[in-house]
Amino acid sequence: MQKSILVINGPGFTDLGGQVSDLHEGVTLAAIRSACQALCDDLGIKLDFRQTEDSQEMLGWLAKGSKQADALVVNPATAARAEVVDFDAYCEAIYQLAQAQQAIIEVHLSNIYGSHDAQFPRPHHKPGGAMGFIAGLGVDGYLLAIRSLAEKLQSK
Amino acid sequence: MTPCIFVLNGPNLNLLGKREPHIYGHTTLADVEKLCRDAAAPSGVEIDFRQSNYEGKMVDWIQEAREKAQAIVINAGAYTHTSVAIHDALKAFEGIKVELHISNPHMRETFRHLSYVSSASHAIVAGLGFRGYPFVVEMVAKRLSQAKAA
Repeated sequence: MQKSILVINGPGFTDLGGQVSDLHEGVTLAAIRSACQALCDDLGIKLDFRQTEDSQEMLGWLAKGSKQADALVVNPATAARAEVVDFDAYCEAIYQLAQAQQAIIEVHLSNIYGSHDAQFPRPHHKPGGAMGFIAGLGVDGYLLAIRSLAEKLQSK
Repeated sequence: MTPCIFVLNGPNLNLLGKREPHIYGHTTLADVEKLCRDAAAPSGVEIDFRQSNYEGKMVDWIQEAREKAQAIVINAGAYTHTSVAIHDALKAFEGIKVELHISNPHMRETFRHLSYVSSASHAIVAGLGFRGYPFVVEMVAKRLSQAKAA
């Protein structure tokens, strides 16, 4: 049966649609989507690509993600920032997925740990379970995640 | 001049495939080196693949890269979480720098959550298993060969 990958994008991407930062070299959500779609077409994988400005909706997608796709890619975007109260809930959601052996990779366009300020806190995942992490590769980060997950799914 | 990527490996990675296979798998570092060479070859990029258990040696190699390499892919192993010296050396390297880990340090003990390498690197790739190496090398090699052509 055809394998599927769900790509979840969290709040903050509207900034990429309108005000494009230099950091992301003119990247838009639409550009990310079409790059992911082209790769999934090549790999014969079904892609479900979503974005929400509501962090609760993002958490809901994560909770149901295992039932809806064989593997997940998540860019929590601004939901991974320290000032966002949902950060604990996000860590818990990731922990549950990792414990359940769900194939999942977290992706960030920029290197969120590129400076030593505390804007992006270190996650407090408990040991156990696996989750990939890619940050700072721009759109290539999504493509790397999809290729890695596709390889994992094919070896199953 | 052929572009070159230094792939630098830190302490205990010489035991890859031989220690804690439930975390790191059965693939050896020699296998990983071959994967990196194969991944870089289509882009015509050279790989200089090294491993050391000594922090100072890694600092020397990062400094050497200033003269010889356009990119560094570094798995600093446990020095990731302790070495300000490696952080400083990386800061002085002007090419592409990618921090790489086989497992995801964030999913392990809290003493592995802080990285001195992250804040001196452009990108972080972790938790993709040993396959992270060829994935990253291929991507960096492509960027170098495109930059060379431009």
